[in-house]
Amino acid sequence: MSTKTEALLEVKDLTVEIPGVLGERQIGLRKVSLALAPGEIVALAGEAGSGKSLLARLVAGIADPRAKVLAGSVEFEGASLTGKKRRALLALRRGPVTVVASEASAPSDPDRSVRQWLREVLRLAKGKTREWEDAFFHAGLLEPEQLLPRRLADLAPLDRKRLGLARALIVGSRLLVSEEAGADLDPLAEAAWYEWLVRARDESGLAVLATTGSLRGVERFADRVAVFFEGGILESGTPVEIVAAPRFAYTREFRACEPDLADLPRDLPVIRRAAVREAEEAVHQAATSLDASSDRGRQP
Amino acid sequence: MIRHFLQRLLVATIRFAAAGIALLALVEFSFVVPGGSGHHVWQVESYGLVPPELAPRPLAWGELLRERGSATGRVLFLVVPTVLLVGYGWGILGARLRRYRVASLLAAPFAAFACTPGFWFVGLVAIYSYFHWQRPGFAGDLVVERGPDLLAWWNAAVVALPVAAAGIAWQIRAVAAVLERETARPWTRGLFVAGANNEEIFYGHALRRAVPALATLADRPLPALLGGLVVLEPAFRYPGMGSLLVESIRLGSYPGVLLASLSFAALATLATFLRELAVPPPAA
Amino acid sequence: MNANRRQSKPARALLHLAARLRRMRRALLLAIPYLLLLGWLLSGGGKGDLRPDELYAARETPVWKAPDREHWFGTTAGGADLFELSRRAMAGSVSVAVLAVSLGIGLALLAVSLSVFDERESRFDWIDRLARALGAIPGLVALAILTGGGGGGLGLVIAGLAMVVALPLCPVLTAWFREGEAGFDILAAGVAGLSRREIVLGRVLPPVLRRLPGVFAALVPAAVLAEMALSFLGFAGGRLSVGAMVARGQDYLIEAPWMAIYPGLFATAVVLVLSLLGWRVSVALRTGPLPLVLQSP
Repeated sequence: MSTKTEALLEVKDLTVEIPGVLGERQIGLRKVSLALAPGEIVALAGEAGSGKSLLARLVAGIADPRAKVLAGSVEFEGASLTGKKRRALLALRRGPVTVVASEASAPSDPDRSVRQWLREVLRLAKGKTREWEDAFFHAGLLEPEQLLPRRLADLAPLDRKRLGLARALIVGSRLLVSEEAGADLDPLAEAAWYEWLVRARDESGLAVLATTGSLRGVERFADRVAVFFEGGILESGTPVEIVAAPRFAYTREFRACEPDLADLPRDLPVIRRAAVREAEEAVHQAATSLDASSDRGRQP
Repeated sequence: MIRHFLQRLLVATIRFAAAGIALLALVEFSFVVPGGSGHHVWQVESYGLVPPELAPRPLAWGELLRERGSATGRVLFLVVPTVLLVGYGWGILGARLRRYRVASLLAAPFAAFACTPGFWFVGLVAIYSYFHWQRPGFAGDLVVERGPDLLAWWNAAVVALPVAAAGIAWQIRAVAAVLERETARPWTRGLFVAGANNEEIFYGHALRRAVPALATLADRPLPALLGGLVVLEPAFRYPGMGSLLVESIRLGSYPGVLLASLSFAALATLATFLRELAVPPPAA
Repeated sequence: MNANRRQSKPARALLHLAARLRRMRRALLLAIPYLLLLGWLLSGGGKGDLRPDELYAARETPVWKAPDREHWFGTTAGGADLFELSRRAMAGSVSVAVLAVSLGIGLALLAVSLSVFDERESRFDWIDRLARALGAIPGLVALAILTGGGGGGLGLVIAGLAMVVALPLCPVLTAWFREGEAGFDILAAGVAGLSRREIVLGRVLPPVLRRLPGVFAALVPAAVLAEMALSFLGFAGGRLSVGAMVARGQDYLIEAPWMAIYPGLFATAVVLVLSLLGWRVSVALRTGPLPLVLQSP
């Protein structure tokens, strides 16, 4: 995994408050700690609303401005992100960090052509760029010349995500935040996307922070996995540990939660109340963490 | 290219013909049915000489049209570019400031001015009518042997100011609305996530996409401006086409009414024709 | 967050309603001053039937009074209090405008509904095209001809204003209907077997109707100004109107300036308030781009 001493991204005991639907305040993240080394791929998995997207957006600087950091810190390459204004966080997204999100949360302009998009990217990068054809090739976009005149709307969803990866390679990003990028891809495309992430990491040392809604396929691409539940990290470790020997029943049932098309409504898999209660106790009582040294969460 | 031109010309001609027929029907209906006049629009006796109230000296209808038309032309020459320039500029700037909350205090005057169309009308009419151009001594000492007729242009400017103010207010609102719709599109979020800042999103993407829609607004203020002229020219006692219309209605003189209203309709149709030449309308 | 815990149905329904009301709080708050202003204008008893001719009839010994504590705006040449007169005149103008705009919106809806229920969508295209062609005639020109030639009766003013409001509104409403029909849920409803009438009435019409109060709030100040413009030009018959007061008062501008200026300022203030409120109401109700109403497409 990582023997480097300097972490690329470090989250320490982060507690964040977010506004709810009717204006009441809820806790979005509870004392979350995480460390990401350069060249590492970490997957954050959990249900909707468990805080994984909030953490990814805070790292990328695109979180809801109403979210308030109550305690803790987020540091990217030693510089703290929690106190910064949005303009400063914007500078981060123009180079060191690239965000690839689902179409719903970051829609792309359908009428723009790939050529115009590329021109924007090269302008944003301002000089220190890699050869774009090279980057396209390493992102899995073959025949880049044929791709240029096409509109973004006419591309396949996987190709749009690959463009995001190519952007990360062109501008030389050190961190790629894949925020539910697999959500609008079919399972095969999602698997292909993760495979290309691994290849990009092997080739250029790009670190990846990916959020997914399920534990499907994590063992194939992630170095470490963290399972989120109600704002805290329930358990964490290598994918093999999480999948083969999970400590909480919730994790086991969360992984099994993939309904078959043939299932009748009464047969749909659910997570039992007991498992949920156990997970709640674990998350609300103790600070949970995912860091380089320990590979399991603390005992409740 | 030629085909597009001829197509637009045909459409403009048909529109003008429809407007003309509607105006004839309107005049006939309003003067004869509730007004109880015996003259009909198709009767030749209804069209006589220029009444003495409309012109100080005996004039033919063509000369009257030319005189009044040049007076209104001076006003329009001042008003239309002002409305377009200030309307577009203020609208774009206002949309930029309001959308991204930069100096929202600065944006307040834009909003305040843009949402009060025509309120100038009542206040200014009551006050400015004191300075109507026929008052003796008012710039009457200015004698210019050769050169532009400054007095005429000054008088035109006095009328042009409130007309332009009302037109600018409406145009600002329209331009700002188009730009706000463009900046509210979902992909501005995608651009923000990709690292574009507010200026890049607004000027680089939203404004560029909004250019066709903004160009469509170019002929929008003209009918409203002409309507404003109809009210403000009599208020300032300015001898233009608007006063011709109002005075002809008061006198019941059909040629004056038809000449004035048809020339307004022709102006508006011409403006729409030019705009459609430049910005082809989307195929229905 | 609470995947396995669901609130009870009544609780959920209440929360939903509360959220909806909270979203509309701005519009609800704005409606209050609007209604208060209208109520205040329309209150107050009539002090006899006053006509502009009587108000401004030339007198041997004018009995007008300058503005003082008793008469805030001064009096007319005949001695009538100008403040009350202005208020009644504005009430009249606003009522005429409200009536005319409602009528105009109703007419436009009627005209558009002809084309919208049509299976073959081109049968009533001529309504759209006619509206576009007649948009070349400035509204005030048509109104001036109609009311001036016809003697300035109230019915003519209301009918004329309603037509001038309805005509540019037709293409806008048509565009909104077409926009509403382009959604995926409409496609799904069509596939599910709903008739065109059911689809339009149940799914396409409600969003359009929801935008209409904003259109109304935006058009009323413009209609008030149009009515005042017509009476200023002298096409109001014998009716009491602020425009007529301003026009007649211009004759006395040197000796008794309050007769022309104060009614004008009062009218300006009322139109300003109506216009600002109307704009905020339409923004709060999310009507969409307002000036499209007066735009020639």
